Order: sequence, then C-alpha cells, then structure tokens
Amino acid sequence: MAKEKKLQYDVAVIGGGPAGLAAALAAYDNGAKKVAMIERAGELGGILDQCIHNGFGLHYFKEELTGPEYAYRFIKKVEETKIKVYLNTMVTDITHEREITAYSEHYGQLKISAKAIVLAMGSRERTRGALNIPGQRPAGIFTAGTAQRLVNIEGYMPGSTVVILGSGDIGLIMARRMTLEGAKVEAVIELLPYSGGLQRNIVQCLNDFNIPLYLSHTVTQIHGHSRVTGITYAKVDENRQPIAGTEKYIACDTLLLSVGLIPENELSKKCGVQLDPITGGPIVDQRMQTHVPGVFACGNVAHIHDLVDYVTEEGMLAGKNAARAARGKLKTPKKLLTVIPGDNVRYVLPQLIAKKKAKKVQISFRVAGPMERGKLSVLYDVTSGKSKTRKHLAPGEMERVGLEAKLLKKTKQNVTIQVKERK
Amino acid sequence: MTIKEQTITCTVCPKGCRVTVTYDDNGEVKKITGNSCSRGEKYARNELVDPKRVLTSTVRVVGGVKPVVSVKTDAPVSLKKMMECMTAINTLRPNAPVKMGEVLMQNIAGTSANVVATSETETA
Ligand SMILES: Cc1cc2nc3c(=O)[nH]c(=O)nc-3n(C[C@H](O)[C@H](O)[C@H](O)COP(=O)(O)OP(=O)(O)OC[C@H]3O[C@@H](n4cnc5c(N)ncnc54)[C@H](O)[C@@H]3O)c2cc1C
Ligand code: SF4
Repeated sequence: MAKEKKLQYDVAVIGGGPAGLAAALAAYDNGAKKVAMIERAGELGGILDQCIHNGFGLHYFKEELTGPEYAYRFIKKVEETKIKVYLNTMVTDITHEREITAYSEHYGQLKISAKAIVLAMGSRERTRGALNIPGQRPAGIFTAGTAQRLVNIEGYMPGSTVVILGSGDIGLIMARRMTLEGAKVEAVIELLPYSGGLQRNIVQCLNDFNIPLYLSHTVTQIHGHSRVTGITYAKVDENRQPIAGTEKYIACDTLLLSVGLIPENELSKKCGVQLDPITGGPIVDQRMQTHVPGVFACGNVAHIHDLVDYVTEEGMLAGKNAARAARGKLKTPKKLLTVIPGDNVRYVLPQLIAKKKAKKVQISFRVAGPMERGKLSVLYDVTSGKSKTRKHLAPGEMERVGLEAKLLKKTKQNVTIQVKERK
Repeated sequence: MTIKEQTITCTVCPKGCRVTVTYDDNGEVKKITGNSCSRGEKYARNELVDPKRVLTSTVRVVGGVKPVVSVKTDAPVSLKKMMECMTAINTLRPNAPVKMGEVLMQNIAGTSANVVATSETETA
C-alpha cells in the first residue's frame, strides 16, 4: 500500500454528482483557492451518467438535455479550473473537526483536513428488504436503478417480460427504456392512490406505450425458484392492506422495484450532523450549513430531488457558503428561526434560518398528498404573508416558495409553510 | 357536428400544465386553455395529430473503454416511428473513440432527425 498522505484544503466536496460539481465550482468561483472533489466512481457525473433520457436542464440551461450531457457541461468547467479531483476514491470517515479519511486506488489511504466540507453523496435506492414480499428470492429482481445501470452503462438487458413495483421516476423511465429495447412491460403497480413520479414521465413513459398503471395495488407474492416466473398482485384498501379476492397473476421473468430513494448519510452521521427524520437528510439553514460548523450539504444527500436544476442551484449555494466559511466569513448567530411544515406539507428545506442578513430565502417543500388547487401561504410567527394559488400539487413534485424579506425581518421565532385545499 | 375535448399534459417544460383542447369532427381546433405559454399551445395542437418525442437510447461501441455510449435524436421524432427508429439505432456499431455530439446516423428512418452521441468513450 502506498504511504499515507496528509493533505489540506479550503473546501473538500464529497461526491462528484451534479450537487458536488456545482458546489466545487461555486466554491472555486467564490475565492476558495484549494478545492478538492472526492468521488468513489471512476468518473464524475453521479447518477446522471446512467440517466440517458432527456429532460435535464430545462430551468438552468433553458434547453432539454440528457443526463450525461448535463453532467458533461459541468465536468468541462471543472477541468478548466485548478480543482483537484480524486476519482476511484471512497471517503470512509469524517470527524466533527473536518478530518476526512479516504481510500484511493491510486494513492492508498488519504487523510484530508478541510476548512469546510460539502456533503454531496447523493442517495441510494430502497430495496426489497424494506418491503417484505413473500416468496423465495429468485433471480430477476432488481431495483430500477440497478436495471438502469445494466441497460444504459453495461449494455445488458436484465429480462424480457417485466413488472415494475412502484411508480417512482426511475421505474417509469425504465418502463419506457425496456419497452424500447424490446421487452414487454406488463404493468406498473403502485401502492398509493397516486403516482410518486413526475406527471411528464407518466405521459411520456407509460401512456405513450400503453403500459398500464395500477394505482392502489401491490405485489403480494413473487413466484419462481431459480428465476422469477410471475407475480401476484392485489388491490389494497385505505390502510394499504391487500383486499382478499382481488388477487391476479402476471407471468414475468423480471420484477423491478422503484420504491424510492434514501439520502446517503452514513458519513454525515459520523461527523455528528443532525438528520431530519422526514427528509432523511441533514438539517440545514438557508446557507445549506448543517449543525456542524463548516459542514454543508446539498442535492440528494439533503433531500430527494426530482429535478437536477434545483440540485445544481443547491450545490452552488452550498459551495459559495463553504468558500465563505473557509475564509472565516460565515457567522452563525446563536438564535436561529425554525421553518415548520404546516398543514398538508410533509417537509421543508431549509429547516432553519440564520436570520442575520437573510435575504432571498427560498424554501423547498413537498405536499403530503395530491391536490388539484391549493392555497399556499407562509406564516411569519403568526402574521400571514401573501398567499398564492398553486395548481396540480403532488408529493412527487417538489415545490418552492420565496420568503418575503420584509416580513422575515420582523419574525422572532418561526416561519410556517402551509397549503389549504381550494375547491 | 359534435365538439370534443381532450386534456393533454404539456411536457415541454417541468411545469406540466394541463392543456385542454376543444375541437370538432374535422379535427379543427376551436379553443385551447390551461397553457401558461405559447409553447404549450403548439405542443397541444401537435399532440392531437402527430405526437413527437426525442428518442434516447444506447449503441454498442467497437473497441471502446466503455461497452456502450448513449445517443439521442437531435429533433423529436413521431411516436409512430419510435420502434422503427430503435431498429435502425440498434444496427449502429461505431468504432471507438466516440466523441460527445458526434453524428452517428443521419436522417433516421426518414424522419430527417440525426442520431448523435450524448456521451463519449476512448479507445480501449
Ligand atoms: C432515474 C432518475 C431519473 C431522473 N430523471 C430526471 C429528469 O428527467 N430530470 C431532472 O431534472 N432530474 C432527474 N433526476 C434527478 C437528478 O438526476 C438527481 O436528483 C441528481 O442526480 C442528484 O444529484 P446528487 O449530486 O445529489 O447525487 P448523485 O448524482 O447520486 O451523486 C452522488 C455522488 O456521490 C458519490 N459518493 C457517494 N458516497 C461517496 C463516498 N463515500 N465517497 C466518495 N464519493 C461518494 C457517488 O458515487 C455519486 O457519484 C433523476 C434521478 C434519477 C435517479
Ligand atoms: S404550457 Fe408553457 S409553461 Fe406550461 S408546461 Fe407547457 S411549456 Fe411549460
């Protein structure tokens, strides 16, 4: 093994997906001289490398790009800077004092100390283990993301007749992808009465190819010994329990699971970052700083995003503030305002606002259930700001609202985001 | 004459407006509502007659570091022609290296769209 190296950086970014790329660039552009980006894969780009479909960059570049093209634009920018990129390097530990331990194929063990750290490790997929479907564990069960990787990166088709459990975006995208590659996608089965994916994906991935979506249904049994031979699915009641007598059988050789992503926060926990039980990601203030001074979080590590454009925006915010923190220019007041998810709001981010100099604060949130028309309002302590009508609210689509600086200035305790149904 | 109505989700931008098109037996559009911008109107009109999508896929590369590169059509192609386009794309076997944006096939299935690489690979 190569001998241990000790390195010092102003800003160290962990993860080279769109969040990490944006954070590293923003840190560099905002005066951080020594910036490192550490990525465990052999290439930068994160999950975008396998998202070959288009639909990225509509907000940020005002054009529709594929995932790899979107990543490429940022990777090229990074190559023009002096940002040090460590590929094939996995971070295994971060301390509260911002000491990073990493293992690299090329350098062996690395010890890096950084004045500021940006967590940008993205997310991982929920698996069947979390689901408990009866049946043996035959071959032919994949998470949708694994299948996506096999088809789009390895060039290998994992099956020919497919059922997809869960209507998350990856599942919808894979329904189309596998159909185009000649597989028969029999159905997408969703436990909830609505889809967790973007409406545009339902249209372009299912409707375009006449793939049925069974809402309020679930898979109750997986058949087959060495390979999947079929599945049984059934309707569920309001408590999401299968209704006896509604079972149906579908013959298939492959079951894809698209039941959601979980922020990847094993490292965050190690350095003492506090997590939000709902988002699964660190609690952050409007500068994307966690409870640990000098440690920032952005992208899917903070909360699961459906649009990469907002991941980039968050990454830039985190990177810029990490650069300020590295210069000792980021003060955190003792008293922070809390942002509270009110009626019909499942979560908010940031969860905290460092009030001093809080200017254009944007709050991201998700609604708890679908709503055709909702009245969105923000309470500053108890004073209500302007309310707005939002249409077609759905848990699968992240919403954002800007806070009113004047009202925020007078706020002493908290800001509540709430949505009331409008008929 | 009967008047029909169809609601289409505009997919031009992530806003996903529900655009309602009212049209008569001859397919003549009478009214379009629900769109937030003019692109939505154009999209909805086209959806009624001939929906088009950008097609994305992968092609196998000969002698590359990576086994496949991703590709897209540089213009939307008719949904009716999707499978025909896929058959054409699957005949492609470019030699490495493949560069980002490289045109790998012109005028795919007579659609006048070209197939371009959206990722790249070096020679192994
Ligand atoms: C299937 C799918 C389809 C999508 N479709 C769209 C779409 O059509 N339009 C759109 O705008 N958005 C879409 N998105 C959303 C968007 O792509 C993601 O939200 C975005 O990629 C998240 O970026 P990230 O940088 O936070 O995470 P990632 O892209 O996951 O990057 C995280 C990186 O961190 C690295 N890493 C993790 N742990 C470590 C460690 N310990 N040490 C070193 N490196 C580490 C990983 O290897 C990875 O490269 C889609 C997402 C998915 C999954
Ligand atoms: S109508 Fe305009 S704003 Fe609405 S989804 Fe279409 S392109 Fe976007």
